[in-house]
Amino acid sequence: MKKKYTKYAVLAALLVFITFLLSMAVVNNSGKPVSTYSGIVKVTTANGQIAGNDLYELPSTIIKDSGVYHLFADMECEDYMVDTEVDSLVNGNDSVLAFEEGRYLYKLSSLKASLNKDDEVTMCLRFKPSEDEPIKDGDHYVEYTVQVMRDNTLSTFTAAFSFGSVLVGVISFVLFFISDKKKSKGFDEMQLMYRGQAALSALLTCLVILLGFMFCFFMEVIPFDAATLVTVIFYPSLGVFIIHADSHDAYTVFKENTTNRKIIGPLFLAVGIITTAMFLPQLFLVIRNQEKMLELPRYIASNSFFLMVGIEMIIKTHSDKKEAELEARMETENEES
Amino acid sequence: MKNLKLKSARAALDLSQQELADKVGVSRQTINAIEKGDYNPSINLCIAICKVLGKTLDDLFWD
Repeated sequence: MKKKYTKYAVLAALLVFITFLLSMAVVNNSGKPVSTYSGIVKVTTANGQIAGNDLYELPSTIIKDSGVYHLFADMECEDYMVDTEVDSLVNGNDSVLAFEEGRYLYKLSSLKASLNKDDEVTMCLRFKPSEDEPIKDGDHYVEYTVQVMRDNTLSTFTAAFSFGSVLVGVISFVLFFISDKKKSKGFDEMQLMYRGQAALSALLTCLVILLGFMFCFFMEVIPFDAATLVTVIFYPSLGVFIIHADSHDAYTVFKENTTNRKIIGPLFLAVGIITTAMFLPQLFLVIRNQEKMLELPRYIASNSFFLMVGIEMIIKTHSDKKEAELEARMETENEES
Repeated sequence: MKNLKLKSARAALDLSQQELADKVGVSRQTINAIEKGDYNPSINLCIAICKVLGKTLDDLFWD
């Protein structure tokens, strides 16, 4: 194998290895409940109101590892007279698990939260009379199951990503050896060179993001969840490939077709502007309320992809047009002289 | 460094960049990049260009 292909093979192998390592590291910690509390609470009602304490506090859970957690709650009241709201307090800060208040069914509800090491999670059950029918005085029993569970999305997505990486790697490897390059007339030698550079840049972008995520993971600071990681890897890598290849006339399609660029460029820019316009109000709300928005990197990655690619294609279309005009003028001048 | 020899040889035969590119089997942008000195062509491409323009390698690619 030639030396330059060995370099690509080593980088691809490194990529697969990192994803495998990441998935193995995560699989052990995911999907297992950190704590489970279940039981039956007696709620007494008198004069249509909850008699006595309407709040039932469950023991706290101390988070041992930073990460994304699901707070699950499953409630059932045998005579459906009492509605239950679950307040989940993280270090004393209140957030609520919203339950659908159905008469005959309390839906299983969950809250996704990014928690740090040593955070204290306390779940409280808050009872109130049912709004659907007049409450009878007496004792009502609410059965509860509350769980704090490590988010297993990471392992699912990482496993999927690892599988995808291996699959793409194997297919590329097979195609590389069975393809007859002499028959391929899609790109000339300069375009192939720049496409190779673009692919390498995309791979390096992918590796840098993965390494950054791994660093954060081992430092126990999870910047975002795995679903976001996949998006955050995919969009910038694809963007780097397209921008690098297209700016060097290596195109993103299989043959020169500047009409594609004239259409795709403004289209991508329009999509980028529309999605950014839709996302900005949400972002302002998050900033104003000082909330943690797990999807933030995903929005930024996808929106900036469309914006950057759109802008690059429009600039490239204009510069090509100017270059062609200049060339035509020079040739006319040459003919005249 | 701009390859003015290639440009003048092409102009002498009244060929546009696109026509030369079609004859040697590359894109117009590649011919443009060679003339501007942005890209160093392979020896195979140099030979193909020389054959089309009726020049030697020394004439076009040797300073």
